[in-house]
Amino acid sequence: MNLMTTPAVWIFLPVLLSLLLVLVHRLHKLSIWIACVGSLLLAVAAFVFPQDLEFTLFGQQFLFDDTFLILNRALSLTGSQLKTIATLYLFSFLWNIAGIRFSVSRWFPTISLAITALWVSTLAVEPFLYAALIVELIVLISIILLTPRGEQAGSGVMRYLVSQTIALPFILLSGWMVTGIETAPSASTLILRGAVLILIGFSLWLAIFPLHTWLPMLAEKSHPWVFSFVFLMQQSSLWLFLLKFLDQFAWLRNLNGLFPAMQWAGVLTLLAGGVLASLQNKVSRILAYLVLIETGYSLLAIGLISQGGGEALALSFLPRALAYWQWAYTLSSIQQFAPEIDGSFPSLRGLFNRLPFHSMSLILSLLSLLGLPALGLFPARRMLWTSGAGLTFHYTPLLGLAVAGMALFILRLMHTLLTADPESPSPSLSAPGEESFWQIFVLSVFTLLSLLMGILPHIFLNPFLGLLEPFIHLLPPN
Amino acid sequence: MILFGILGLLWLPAIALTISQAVKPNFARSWFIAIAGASLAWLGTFFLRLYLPMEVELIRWLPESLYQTAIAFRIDYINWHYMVAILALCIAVILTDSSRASTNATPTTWAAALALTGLNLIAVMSRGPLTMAIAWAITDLVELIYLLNFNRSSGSKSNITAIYGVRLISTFVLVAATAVGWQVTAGLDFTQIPPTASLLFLVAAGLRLGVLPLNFPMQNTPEIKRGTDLLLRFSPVVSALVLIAHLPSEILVLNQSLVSIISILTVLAALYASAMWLTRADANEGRPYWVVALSAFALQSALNGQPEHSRVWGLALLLTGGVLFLFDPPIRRIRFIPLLGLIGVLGVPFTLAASGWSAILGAQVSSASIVMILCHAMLVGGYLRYIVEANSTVTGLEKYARFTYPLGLILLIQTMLVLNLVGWPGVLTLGTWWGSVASLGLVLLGGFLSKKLGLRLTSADFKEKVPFYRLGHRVLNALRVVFSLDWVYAIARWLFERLSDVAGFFRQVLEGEAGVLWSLFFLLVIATLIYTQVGQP
Repeated sequence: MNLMTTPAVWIFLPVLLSLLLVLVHRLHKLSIWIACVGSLLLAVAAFVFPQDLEFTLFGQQFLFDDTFLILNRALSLTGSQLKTIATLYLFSFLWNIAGIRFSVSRWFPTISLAITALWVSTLAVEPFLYAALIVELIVLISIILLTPRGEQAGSGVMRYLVSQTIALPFILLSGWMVTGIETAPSASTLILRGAVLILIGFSLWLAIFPLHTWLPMLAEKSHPWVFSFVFLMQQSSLWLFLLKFLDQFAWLRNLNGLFPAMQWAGVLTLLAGGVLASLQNKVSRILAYLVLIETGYSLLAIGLISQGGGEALALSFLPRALAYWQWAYTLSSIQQFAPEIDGSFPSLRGLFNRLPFHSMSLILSLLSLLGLPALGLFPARRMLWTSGAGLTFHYTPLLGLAVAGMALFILRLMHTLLTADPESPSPSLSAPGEESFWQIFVLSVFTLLSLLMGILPHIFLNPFLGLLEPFIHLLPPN
Repeated sequence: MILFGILGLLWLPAIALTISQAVKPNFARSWFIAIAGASLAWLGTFFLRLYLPMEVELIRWLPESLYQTAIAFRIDYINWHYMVAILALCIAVILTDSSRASTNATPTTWAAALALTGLNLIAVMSRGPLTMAIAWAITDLVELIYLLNFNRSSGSKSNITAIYGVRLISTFVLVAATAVGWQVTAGLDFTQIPPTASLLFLVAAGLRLGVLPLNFPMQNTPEIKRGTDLLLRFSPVVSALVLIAHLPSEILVLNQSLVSIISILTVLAALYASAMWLTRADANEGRPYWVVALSAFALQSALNGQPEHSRVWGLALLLTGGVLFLFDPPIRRIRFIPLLGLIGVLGVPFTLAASGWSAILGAQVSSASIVMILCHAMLVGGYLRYIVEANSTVTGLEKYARFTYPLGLILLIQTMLVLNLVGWPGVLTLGTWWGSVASLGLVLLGGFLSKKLGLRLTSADFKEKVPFYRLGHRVLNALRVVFSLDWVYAIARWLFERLSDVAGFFRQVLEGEAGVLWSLFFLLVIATLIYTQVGQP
């Protein structure tokens, strides 16, 4: 068995590390530090690793194989996938490093590392059919994190499990159905059925409108820190997985009407997310709608792949992660400060007087996700808006409504945070100066990062265009 | 290089002031740093005049094929005078601020004034709409943070969300306009705005100016009245005025009926705002109406196909308005100084605003032209009224303030005179002279009648003396109710509540016990839809 392979480094090693963390999970700080250092090293290694997988160290030449064979199945991580791997482990690091502050599950470092390794393996496994099983495994272990400490699994968790499990047979069936399909004529019924099964599977996985109903239920009950991590990883990996599908199977990407259907599904998901967010009165649920909106944008981006959508998708990876991070960090921190805040609007009234930096951070992270010029997601959003408007004017009012919906929520939240209730001022909301220098520093750094990414995307975001390198059929290099 | 020097002269002193205030506060030193930075920057702009038009590219997003965007500046005869005016206003604010015991003049506010002026310059100098959108977004955020910080102690934040909301919408309308414009010219700058997108650009500017739709979100913020805060109020206005000046003159080739509707709304906004300006208790109360009325003049210029001439009304808004609003305390002995400020708005031949008449009157005399002359007369009349009614006799002014206070006002008047000579080619023009004559005639007639009838707005028997006072009062009040847009907000709130109820019902259904079944039902619907749609040629 050759261990000098990329899957051994970026899949088996972290899985082993997470198994080790199981043994020390009671030593919370130690396990967090191990997970942090492990994730960071794996991210850096993937980032600096040469694309030809060959390098010389201390005069000795090392050549890594990109394929690991196991039980007649292959795990293959090529040089062009290393940026994806680096990105996923970077996310794992970011969520572990700050996770120490919050009272999330003790299993968080262990499971977060395992989840990251498993998501990497979904992108590596051949034949792709087995990825569906790995996704199911990820869902199963995510349940441990998503269930609040000391509580029974709620209906949101159960529906999440049901929804993701239903997706599994769709993907498996499609895989079996389309075996050898390349030889069939492009309009054959078999292809169509296979494509429909795949799309339904992905729709369930990604909670595309109207299959999203479990998302807000889950967000309301789960810790925002855990929820943001699980769904950031799921979104990021599944989009790349879908791109891999489209890249690998010509019959799928050449199917008439596939990309317009994706555009419409994206626009409608985005619209649903925006409108539903505007009507929300609970910030704890809003992360679900943010996920839904991001799903809509990503789907639209893939639908617009030939009009620069792929690049928009790649450019949005980091700013989206940072905006999720900032939102979840701020919300978790607020809950830590004031456990009596249940996330409803009345409980947040006048919070600005008590926690001004946290309040501003909530607003700024939302503005970044909205695509405000000068903030991180603007370059990607602008590409999609322009491409969407250029393609058909039907999208323009729908996109406008979606943006307006989210903007309305932001303004409502801002009004709530700024306006203290004159009749019943909560005594806990009248003691300013609770924010430590360190917290203010962290929130300011993330805001500054968002600004830098928005103003200098060619420096901060262009490296993420490398995420598209493996998809040479879908996005042929110039 | 000069350009970056100017920005450095604003931002470095702002940083220095903040540090100096934190380490070793000294009022006089801070004042000197602020005034030196702003003055040098102001003088620097006159050097730029020698190189007009000029372009500076700050950041190019690469690869070009992907972004087609550069953060770049262009200074030309459309925006250079606005730069001069903003910087003059900044100096005047700092000069006059120290003489007001009633305001919150501190080195921190001067630092904010310098920083905001610098940000404002970025928006004003933008070469294209994307640079402007980015500058707008940053300026709005900085202003929001400043306002929240300022209001923390006072506890009044009721209107901040509304103000920021309008700005946010205007920024996104600008982005939408850019997206539409890019369909014609990818990576367009202000010289390439296609007529198809120009109306959206106009709406973006109109929103920021408070004209389209008419909105006065900042009129009920009593804490923000004068001094440094004047810059806060004028900062969104200036860049919107520049945007209007950049619009193509072919705006009229668009959907005629739509242009007509916007034109009617603009004229109504001008009429209402100038009537309100004329009848307010004092200049500070009337300030939002001054801004809206002259912004409507600028918009009307664009709608009449002469967007570049909107600059004269923009300059009048800033400079003439600046003189009046900074004339606080309104010392009776020196009221001749703000009286000179009228030179920037009267529009008599060979003065700064002379070229603006043809733009608001249009190619031929129409009812809109007559209304605009009436609006102009009311603006001038109101301006005169506020000066004539100035009766303050301040005795406790510091020695230096006796010099700096009038100097600040004179500087603005000097700026008008300088711009009157070198503002842009052809600035000295006869213009449509009869417009100013008609307006002045109306002002004189109004003055004569009020003198004859002994009318004084502040006097107790004013109601009895004015013919049809009750009718006029009712009409004005009705208009006020209509234009306050409270009814729109009420309808929107009602709609929102109904929508929330509907959404709540669906939420209960989808998240209830039968939710999974509903999901499966939707799944079948989607599968059927996809199955019938995908694969069809």
